[in-house]
Amino acid sequence: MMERELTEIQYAINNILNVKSLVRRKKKSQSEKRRELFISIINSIEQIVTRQNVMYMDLQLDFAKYDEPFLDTIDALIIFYFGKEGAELIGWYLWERLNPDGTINPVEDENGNEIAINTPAELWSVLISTNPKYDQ
Amino acid sequence: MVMLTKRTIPRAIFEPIIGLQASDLTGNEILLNLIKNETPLAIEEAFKAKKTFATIFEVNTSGYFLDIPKTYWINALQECIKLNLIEESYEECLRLNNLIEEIKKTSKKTIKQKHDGEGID
Repeated sequence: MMERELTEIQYAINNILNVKSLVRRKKKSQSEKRRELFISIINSIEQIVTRQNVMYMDLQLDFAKYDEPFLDTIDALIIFYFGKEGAELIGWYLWERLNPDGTINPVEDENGNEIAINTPAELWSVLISTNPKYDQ
Repeated sequence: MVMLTKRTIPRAIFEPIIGLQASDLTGNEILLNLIKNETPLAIEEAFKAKKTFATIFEVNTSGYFLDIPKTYWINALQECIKLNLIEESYEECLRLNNLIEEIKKTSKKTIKQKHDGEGID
């Protein structure tokens, strides 16, 4: 990272907010790294599914069978790490959360409260709140 | 609906970053929006957690974070109020004003406690 550019960003923020800000390098914790890895995995799976749909809709190419062994392997690894309960929630997020009209189905927690999960980051928060061992 | 409370520190992506000038950024609408929305959230979270710095965003994926020290939180919130006034988001202005008052109250208490303690031997 170029030091001069960081100073320019800092200078811009100081002007906008009338403050003296600081730019600091922070080491990411293990927990943060795990969270980022999880988000990147979920984003990648979503991209694979989107690619599958686009190929089918636009080019009539059915990649579902081609992708299936990869997705099955990923599913198995998810079950391996998160167990059945965690894998079910992840499966719900990937396959059942979105309705065809674009609306989002909420999920209920153990007390019957509806929880809105809109992003992989929120999914991660729910997973570790239901089972903190996922983050250890 | 149950809302998830822990804030995810956003990433501001500056592309290309090489040769970037502050003057390119001060009028950038995306950056202004990010600042307007994220600064109050960062300050509120830091204030509640009794932190001395509020982290606004990470610069790209660099691991460098932009922090605002506690002494400048009120200034930053006042500037956010100005940004919200342009958009006529009066409810948000009121919320930010209340947050400023809360921060001021806490600082006064801290100063008073320090002052009260001075005469004790």
